[in-house]
Amino acid sequence: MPLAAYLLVSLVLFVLGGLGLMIRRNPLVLLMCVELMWNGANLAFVALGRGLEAMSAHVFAFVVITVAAAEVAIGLAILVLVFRGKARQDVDEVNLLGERG
Amino acid sequence: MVLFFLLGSLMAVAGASGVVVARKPVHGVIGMILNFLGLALLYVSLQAEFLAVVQIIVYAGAVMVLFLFVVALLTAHAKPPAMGPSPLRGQGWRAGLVAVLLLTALLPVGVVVPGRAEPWEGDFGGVVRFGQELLTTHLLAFEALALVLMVAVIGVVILVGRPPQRRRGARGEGGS
Amino acid sequence: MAVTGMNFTLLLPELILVATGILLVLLDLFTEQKRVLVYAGLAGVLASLLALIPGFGTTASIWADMIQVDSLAGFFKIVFLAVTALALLVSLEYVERRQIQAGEFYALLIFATVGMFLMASSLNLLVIYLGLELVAIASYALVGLLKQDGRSVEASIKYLLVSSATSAVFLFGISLVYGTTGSLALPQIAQALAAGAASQPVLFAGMLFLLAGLAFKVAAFPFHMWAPDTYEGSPTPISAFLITGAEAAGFAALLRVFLVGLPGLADAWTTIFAALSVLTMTYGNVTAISQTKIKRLMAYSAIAQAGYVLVGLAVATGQGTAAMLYYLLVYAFMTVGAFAVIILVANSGAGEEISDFRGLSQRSPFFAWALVIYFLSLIGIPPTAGFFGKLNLFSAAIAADMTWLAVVMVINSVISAPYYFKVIRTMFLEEAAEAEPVRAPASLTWATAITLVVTILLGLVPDQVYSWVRLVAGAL
Repeated sequence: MPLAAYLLVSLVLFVLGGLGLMIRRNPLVLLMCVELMWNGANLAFVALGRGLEAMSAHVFAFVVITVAAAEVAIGLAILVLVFRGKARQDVDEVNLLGERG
Repeated sequence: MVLFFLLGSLMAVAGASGVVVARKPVHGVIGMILNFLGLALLYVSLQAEFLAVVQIIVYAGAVMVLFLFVVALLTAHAKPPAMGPSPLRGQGWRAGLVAVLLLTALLPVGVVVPGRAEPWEGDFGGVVRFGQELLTTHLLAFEALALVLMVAVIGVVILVGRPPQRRRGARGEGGS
Repeated sequence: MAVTGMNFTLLLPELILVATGILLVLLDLFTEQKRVLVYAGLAGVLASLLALIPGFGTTASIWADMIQVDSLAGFFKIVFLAVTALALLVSLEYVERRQIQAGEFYALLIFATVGMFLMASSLNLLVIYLGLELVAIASYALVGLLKQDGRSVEASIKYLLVSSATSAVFLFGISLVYGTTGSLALPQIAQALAAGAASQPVLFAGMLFLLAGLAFKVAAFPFHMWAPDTYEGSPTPISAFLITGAEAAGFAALLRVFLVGLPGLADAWTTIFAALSVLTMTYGNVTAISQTKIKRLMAYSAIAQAGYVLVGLAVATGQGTAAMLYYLLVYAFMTVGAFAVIILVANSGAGEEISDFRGLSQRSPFFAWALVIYFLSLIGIPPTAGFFGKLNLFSAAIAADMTWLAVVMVINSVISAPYYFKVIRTMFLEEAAEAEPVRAPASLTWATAITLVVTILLGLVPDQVYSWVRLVAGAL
């Protein structure tokens, strides 16, 4: 397959993740959408690295996967705090901050 | 390889769409897992065998189990999240428009990239080459990565762990 | 196979900080006296500062070209260490009052500093990305540390979602640039650009992604929406730390990526930075006028100040870079100083509204006057340091034939005056509800005194520091 096809898939994943970030409200789902965007970027990396015959792309993708795991862990910890404080699930209701208050 | 690509990209895109449209977070998690399996297939077809394994073990395994666990923990007793129509009406199609615009703007970018994924040969993408690359040229990045993980662990522990003891009459900032 | 350039001496500042962080977590288990942790942290910062000395004047690429030791890295490391030391000082009282787990708090602060070090001292996009994530992950935890306070948790989750989405954008940018130039090292990327890769649309798209990703980190308009919420909700010392340190690190990465890696596309990105700069400073200043909470006011003021600093990238000359560095240095001190006063007022039982500053001139004249000086410096009134910071940026813009940008800067400084004066008027002309003097802990007095001296000194004798900064900028 031409690498352009892979890049296309990665773009679709990236944009789908971004779309989810814009239309969804549940912070759990938002976190997953961010993961989609990271994975889109990762696929682009591996595909382009294949073209260059360079392993550094694989290392980068590996690093991104690990950092994403760290990020998810801390994101879920904060979500547990959000839920523990108030049984809310909707970022539109998470609005103590801002000019109104 | 063409088959791997077609199947992988189909699974990845279907899974991603599932995450975006699923009403329940649990279904989103399943979509994510489908997406990760599809990506692993794509990695295999790109001769990134080690990454494919990591993708399945770390992402589809560890990360998504964590997600499932939190979804179960947080939504077991709560009433199903009030999703329905978005509180900001019209936001959906506007976001869709933005997404379509972005995609069409980036499309020409993707198409011009040269190169093909075949043939599958040599030790490129294998664990030996990967290990050599990671622990020689990228040794410093590897160490920094370890630090990132440690910071994440400390962060999670102080965020959700209970403080050992608190003095009586202590006053938090809350409510000020 | 071995790693080329395994130089531990030049990596010592980072190593010392990591060791200090780990030590603080362990020390926390054994001591009830949490003040000791601050002293240990300060000692670590000082040791790291001393460890910078062997690297001065040398330019070296170590650890298989992953770390670049040069005077620019040295300059930024000094700024980061100063910010960290001051953040430790202003946190002392705050942490005790709010019952925050002290050991982990200070350790995360120091680990975030290591992340900033990596951002400023690498010419490799992988390491810059890792530094960025290290700062980000440590700050998510720090921002959400007031667990009983819904605002803090909310700030944390918003910051996390926006920041990781922008990291994804940054990553996509890196992958596109990598795909077209075949390298993650900025000098090689610049070579590929010079060899003709610059005309590729893929690379242009990658450049835009990198720009957007980093613009988020420095809270430039229209990528600023996370900043006011995050800075308002997080513990106040952390607001000060992020507003100065993390932002300076973002600018360090911007300087490296665009001036070292992508000079071949300078025509395009200077225009974008000029536009971002004008929008950012105007938006920040106009929105700050209507704020009633002091931390939100400082957040919008920070957005405006980021706009001023972006002028240096818009002109893309050595003079512009020097002016940026000088401004970032000055900005770090005057802003942390202002936050020290905010923490003092909040600790005295009042809240964080501007009206809580009523009568501060009687309750604590020293801190009230200190805040006046910081604010005069933020507006840019002579003879404070902020004046020379702005003057340098101004003359850099004029020297680069961008007089219009300089004019916009001056107009913005004028717009910014009223909201700072509103706070000053509240302190001096309005009566306090209670007249008893504010008890100031020694740590806050020290932090205020140090920042005050630097703010005044950089205003009175700017030439020595500026000539040094010129030298640093020349080495880029």
